[in-house]
Amino acid sequence: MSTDSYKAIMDQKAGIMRSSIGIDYEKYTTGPLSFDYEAMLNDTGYDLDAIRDIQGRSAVGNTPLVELRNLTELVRTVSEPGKGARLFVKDEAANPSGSFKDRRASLSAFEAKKKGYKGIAAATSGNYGAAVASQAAKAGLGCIIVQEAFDSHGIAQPEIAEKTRACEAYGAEVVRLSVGTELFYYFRIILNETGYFNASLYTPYSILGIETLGYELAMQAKAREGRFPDVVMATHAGGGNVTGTARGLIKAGASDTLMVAASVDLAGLHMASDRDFNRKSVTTDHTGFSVPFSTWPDRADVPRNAARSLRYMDRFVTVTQGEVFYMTEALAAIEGMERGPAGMPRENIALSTVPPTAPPAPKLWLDLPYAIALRDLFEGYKFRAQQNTRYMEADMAEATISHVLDTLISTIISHNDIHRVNMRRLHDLAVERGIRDGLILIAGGTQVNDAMAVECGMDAGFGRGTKGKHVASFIVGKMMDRERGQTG
Amino acid sequence: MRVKGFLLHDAEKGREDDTVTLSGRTVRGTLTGINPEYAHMFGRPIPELSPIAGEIRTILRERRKTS
Repeated sequence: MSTDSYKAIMDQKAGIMRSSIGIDYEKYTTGPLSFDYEAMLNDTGYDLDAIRDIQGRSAVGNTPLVELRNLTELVRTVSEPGKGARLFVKDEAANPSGSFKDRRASLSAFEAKKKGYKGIAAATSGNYGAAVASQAAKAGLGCIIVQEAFDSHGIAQPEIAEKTRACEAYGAEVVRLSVGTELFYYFRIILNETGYFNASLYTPYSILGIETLGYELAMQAKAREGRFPDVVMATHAGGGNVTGTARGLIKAGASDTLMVAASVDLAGLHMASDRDFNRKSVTTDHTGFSVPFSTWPDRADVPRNAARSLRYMDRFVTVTQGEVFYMTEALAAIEGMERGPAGMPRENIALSTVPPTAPPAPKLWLDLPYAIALRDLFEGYKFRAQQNTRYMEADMAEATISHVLDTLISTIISHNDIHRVNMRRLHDLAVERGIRDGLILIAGGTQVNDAMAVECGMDAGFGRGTKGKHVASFIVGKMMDRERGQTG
Repeated sequence: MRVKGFLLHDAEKGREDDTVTLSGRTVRGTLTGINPEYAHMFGRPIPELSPIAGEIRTILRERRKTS
């Protein structure tokens, strides 16, 4: 069994992933932090029409867009006059296995079949397992679903137990594991042993499969109301729903539609905690997934996660578990749509999230989606970003030492040529204190350019036309150089 | 790890044996249950949630009466 040792299996990650998905992710790397996202998705060879055709043949998609007239009226009893938007829900429960996850599974099953895999496997505890099992059954593929099913006392969550039953009904093998890292270890063993296709939630296939949801939504609204929706809300766990739906909206031409991501606020409960496992009443779409996955998507089971929600969301909102239950009750009581607990459709949850009186947020296109993940990325390093010159003068050394900083990012506000003076002083001060070699000093602003900053003692300068990603890439490069210098 | 399958030999609970899973893999392990039941359930109705239907229907009725 030595080849199955934990370390051996985890070390083979890249090889197992390449053979089980058929994508050479390395190809898309363009820099220390950057990679060509669109090329990775385009190279799959599936455009929207092809995907609609594939899904149509397996009865996936074309779900009804239902106007929630009573719920809209209920909202208007409390909203300000003229507010209280008309609410529609895309009833994704109308898909073959009962959720939008069929869209994701259908393309993976098609790709697996096309490439001659004997079966497909997925590590999932929720609706996605049933979707993969259902699509595998239709395609005549073997299927293994690996679930994080119970805590260390062997106590299972009922929603997950219901998915175990559903997957087995579709003829899939269900491997049930306890909470924690065991899941991905065992999943890799299975991929290795069976040679099955890895129907990960985070491959390009899984995301492209959701584009039809956004596309249908836009087109149904257009056909019915003569216009695209103002706001589309999608629940956010790993970020696939938001990413795929937004991409579909854009492809339909609805690029002015505001994309809102919604998650259940489970602050304090960790997604991979044995103790917390049975303390939460929702198993997904909560902040235990959405916060880590939106800020650090590549923590997934593939090298490059195709679900990158920060590229697409205009706004992120949270709801409580109680609000979800309230809305689930309301939907049944006044709209006649009973959904749950095991088959809770995603879009329902978001209905309670945006107060009808809230003004729309400005549209944001983030240049540096992963800047906020810097802390995760540089685990062990400490950063401080400043909007002023507070740490400039005598404070700087103390601040650097007391906060144990490795990098100080400070915006130097400039009048006349004071920025040149300040940059030089910062450099000289650091030299004087004997800490210059340990710091990365970077200047930025409209009046700064790289040559000038370097001349003034900085490591780099970032002026007009540069973006956050250039700064981040520079920092990464510099840190890698230093580490190489230290070790070799 | 728990997985279901068809035993290759007669076995008793607590004994180790090989089982063939639904995907056709042979997995060795300790037999913990024979044809185990699906025991999950919906639980009791939640008292805090039960009045919601009545409350919101009343709100809608009142609104429609006044308008």
